[in-house]
Amino acid sequence: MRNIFHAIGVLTICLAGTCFGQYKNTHTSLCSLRGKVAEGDRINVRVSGVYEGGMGDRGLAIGTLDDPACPDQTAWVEIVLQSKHNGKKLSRLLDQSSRAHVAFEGEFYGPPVPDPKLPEAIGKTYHPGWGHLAAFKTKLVVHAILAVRSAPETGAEP
Amino acid sequence: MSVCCSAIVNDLVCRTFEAARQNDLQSKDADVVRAAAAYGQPNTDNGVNVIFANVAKKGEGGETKSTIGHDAEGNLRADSTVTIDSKASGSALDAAVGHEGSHVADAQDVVGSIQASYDAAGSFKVGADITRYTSEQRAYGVFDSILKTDNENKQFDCGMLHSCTLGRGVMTGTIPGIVDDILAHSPFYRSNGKPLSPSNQGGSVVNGLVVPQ
Repeated sequence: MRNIFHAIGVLTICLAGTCFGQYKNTHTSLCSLRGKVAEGDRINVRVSGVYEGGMGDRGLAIGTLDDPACPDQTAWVEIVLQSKHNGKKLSRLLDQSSRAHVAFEGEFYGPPVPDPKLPEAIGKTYHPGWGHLAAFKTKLVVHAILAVRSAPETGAEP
Repeated sequence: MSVCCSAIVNDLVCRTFEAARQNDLQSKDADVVRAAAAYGQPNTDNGVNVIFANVAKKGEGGETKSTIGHDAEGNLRADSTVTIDSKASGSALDAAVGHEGSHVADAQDVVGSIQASYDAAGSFKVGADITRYTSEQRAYGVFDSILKTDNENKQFDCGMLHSCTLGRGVMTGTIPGIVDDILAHSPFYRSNGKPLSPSNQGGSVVNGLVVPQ
């Protein structure tokens, strides 16, 4: 089932014309991922948005990926890089303004599945999320930073 | 509580975390003690796991995710993963440990109230309905209290026009308003695309549970 969703997810993104070519044509927007990943599933994505969170020289970093066009779809982000490319640049930009426009490559997760050993009455009405206070329906585990550019400070955008 | 040490997060960081928790346990503020105690003793399986990561510099110094889980006997419990800023030290670390511990304590209260009401027919109530907004207000109150004890303060990201400060010199009565300002300026604190607020409380601190009517 997971493979089927994976294939559908990648196919959907490809059909949207974002599968090949240079950077600007290879990523999809966070908004377009709405409803693409079911509970318990994940797809590989290249996605753009505004990242706000941490970034260090090494180790896990956490934050959020936001798109002003769909503010109710903020995704929780865990950065576990497999390539250091653009890592220092992102870190530098976050030092300056705490947020940055990014294009990430990684795995996009749908809502997590509740503990299967929970009593049925609770399990069937319980739909947890990711990240801080389990408030995020989706999670992006970032393996590569495709592109980075500066973003205005919070509140500076109209 | 288990604390995840690794090649990246070494023993020193882990010991520093426990030292911060012990500092918080000595507080005269009952909310701070409640927060520190919620982690439980090191190396005991109470559903609380602590890890470390790079987090936003102007944020709360960590984050906490709590879900409904169960212990070895099948009793419901809050399973909480607490992520602490791997670069935090001193008062900032004490405050982050306290803030996240307050969220853990809230989750434990919520799940404890479900366990207490759960019956053989599968019906249950959420006796302690603690919202995300309420939990953040209390956790930032803990944060402020710890900073004041250490005679320190910290600035938070509240946009370009001004910054928000907690700790030394901040009047207690102004804290809820300052926290509202902090909540309004971070994507950490949104519900339905809008900032957490008194009128947008954001569901339970153990988010995702649909409470039966």
